[in-house]
Amino acid sequence: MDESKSFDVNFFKPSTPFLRENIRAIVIGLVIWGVATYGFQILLKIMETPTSEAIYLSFQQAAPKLADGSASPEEKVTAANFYLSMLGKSTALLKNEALKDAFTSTVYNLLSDAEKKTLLAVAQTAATGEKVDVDFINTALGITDNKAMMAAVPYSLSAITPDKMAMTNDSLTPLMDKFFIHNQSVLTDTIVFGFPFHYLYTALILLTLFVVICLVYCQVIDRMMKRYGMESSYE
Amino acid sequence: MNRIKYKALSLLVFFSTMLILAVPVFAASGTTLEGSFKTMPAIILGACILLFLVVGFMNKAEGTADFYAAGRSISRVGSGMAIASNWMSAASFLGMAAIMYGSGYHGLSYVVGWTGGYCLLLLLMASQIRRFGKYTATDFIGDRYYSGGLRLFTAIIAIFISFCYMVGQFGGIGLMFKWIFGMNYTYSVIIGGGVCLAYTLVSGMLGVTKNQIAQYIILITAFLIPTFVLTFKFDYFWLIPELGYGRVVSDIVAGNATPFMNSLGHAMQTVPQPEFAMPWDTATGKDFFQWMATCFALMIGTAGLPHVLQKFYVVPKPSDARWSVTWGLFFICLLYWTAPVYSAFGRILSSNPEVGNLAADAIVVYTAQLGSVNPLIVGFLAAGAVSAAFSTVSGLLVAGSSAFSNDIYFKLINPEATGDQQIRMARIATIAMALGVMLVAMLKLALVAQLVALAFSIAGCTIFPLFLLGIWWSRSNRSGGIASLTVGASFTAIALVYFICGKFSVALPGAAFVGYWLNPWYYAWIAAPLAILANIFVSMNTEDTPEEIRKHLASEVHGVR
Repeated sequence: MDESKSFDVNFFKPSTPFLRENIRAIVIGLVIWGVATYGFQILLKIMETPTSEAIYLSFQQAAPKLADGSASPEEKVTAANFYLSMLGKSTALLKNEALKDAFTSTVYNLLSDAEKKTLLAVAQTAATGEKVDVDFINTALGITDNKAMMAAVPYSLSAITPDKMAMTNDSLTPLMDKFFIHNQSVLTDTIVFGFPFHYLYTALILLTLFVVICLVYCQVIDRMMKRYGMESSYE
Repeated sequence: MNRIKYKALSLLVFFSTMLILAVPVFAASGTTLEGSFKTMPAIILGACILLFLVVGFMNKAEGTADFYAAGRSISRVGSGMAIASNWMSAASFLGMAAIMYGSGYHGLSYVVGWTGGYCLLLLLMASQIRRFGKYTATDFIGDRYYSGGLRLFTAIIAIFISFCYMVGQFGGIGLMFKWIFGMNYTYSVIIGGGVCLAYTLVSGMLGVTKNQIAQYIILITAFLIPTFVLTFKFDYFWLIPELGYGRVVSDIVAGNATPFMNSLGHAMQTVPQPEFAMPWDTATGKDFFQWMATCFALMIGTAGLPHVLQKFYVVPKPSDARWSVTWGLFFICLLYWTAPVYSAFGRILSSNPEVGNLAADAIVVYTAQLGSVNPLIVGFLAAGAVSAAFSTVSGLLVAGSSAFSNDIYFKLINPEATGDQQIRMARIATIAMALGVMLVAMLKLALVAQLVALAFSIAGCTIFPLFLLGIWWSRSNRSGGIASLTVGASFTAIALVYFICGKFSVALPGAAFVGYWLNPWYYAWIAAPLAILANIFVSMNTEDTPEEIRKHLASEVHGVR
């Protein structure tokens, strides 16, 4: 019975000095690996605060006034810019008619009577996919130096009629929360080599660490093997 | 001998003709991103495939002995490159950038999972597997758990894993053929798959080739050059593009203006998109749990993939097994450090709505195009993607078909089969597998990286637990092994049934619950621990492992004397 017991292998009950040392090296390696990979993500999760983008906060302040019609021209510009920056986030959002309606209504409310007519005509044309001149909208929104925003304008207009226009739409709120609230912390806001730190860590530092763990482990085990005379039959 | 050469040459002629015939049929003019025939990329692709075949011809292995000798003559660095080239597939080359392009930080769980798994492999298994001294993963499990049934079951699972893995590859091949030849996706899969099958049959006849090092060098060069060009052209730190693209990420987050334009004349700028970099952003639809589960499932999957584990049996010494993992990981990281460069540039260059919806899986190539990289280099990049998929597919087809002809046909169906019969079975299995994979690839079930992730989850909850306990716990016995595999396979079945039913809009009870917690990309996060527990529980309550196996494990693998 004793004879057969000596051939038992158990990671948690190493029976020989070599195994004890080998397993200790493995455990140290695994702990570093586990903490570096999962520990960091957990830390990121613990430290995060849901943070709204600045433009979303401004919009939320203006929203009640937009709804009851008491909004100032500046607040309307803010709202239109907010809708536009949401539409510009993805091609999927550019297909959201409710969002496009809200944007078009807000722009409509900003413009002079002459421009309002142009807008309606332009929106009709844009809906058919033809190219349109939207410089007057860019000027009204004050985005003439922001090429990303300007690029989104022709695709953000909807062919809504004036009687249906509304500058806010409560059904859009969950979507806004989804796109404008981000999990941020000091780890994501610190910039290192141009990267947000957490991105640099996960995409570059962590992979480098994996290589280092392997390198050190190989060195340690090679030396251990020599000391215990293991693997000599392969030499 | 001559017959083989004749066959090989006729196949070679067959698919070169196919390439040439494709020219006028699909030719179209235009400067759009796709939909047109691209001459230079087509020529470069043909040249790469021919090169691999020529190198294969010149280094024909005459038999198993030659195969091992080849292993001995290759340095650790060289076998590291071989591991890397064996590993890098369309999922690494195209899929990773695609998933980061669409899902931002969530995509990094794939990058981390597919590299971190190698630590697990090295620390817990590599040299132990080599010291155990079997030839394939199936053999190891059959011998360690002294069960023919388990050997068969593992062989079937290994074939299934290869199958899922290949569906992803064929998807990638299809997309690249679509891009190069400008035809629709279905035809691309058929033609690309046909060429790949022909390539496998030709290179299979050539025996095991030594050209994996050449393949690695071509792949990594094709992948790295465009990143230098992009960072240089757009005035980021170009000496190390892997560091230089950091400012691109910040520019996307803040919506900063840049003075540059993409090849279609749109400004290189996005509206502020923190969702591209912020962790588990709600806009990406992926949460913290999914990040952790995906990362973990991919890691254990890496340490359980049969074709990865098999690599360690062919190195001469256990210390070579360890060092080649380390070098392999380094060479793999060269590509993984770089893949996010493409997703970041892709995001900022394709932001204009006029660009429209791009197929995420081809974003690597589109990014190079949108960045006005020289068409020759873009062609080389696309050819690199196809060769990455080709080398992986041919390896998997050979492994899968030999598992079928050896472990299933020869050992079970027809033990009296002659060598010729076995080879014929292997060929038939190769063709049958390739056709099956093509059919499934045409369904376009998911992104390339996700399809491959499924293969990892299967490996992670079936093969990984058997290896882990088989090596580190001698008490683990046949009944335990069967229990472990049953648990793993059942979870696989549940995840797959729900996934496929979901794809075809069949409502099953609890679909939302299963879709979230047992998603096919990462269900191994729970299936693997449960399989291990099942193994432990059943082993404890059944007879002890036979002494000879414990003795072999203790003295050969762990040096107990």
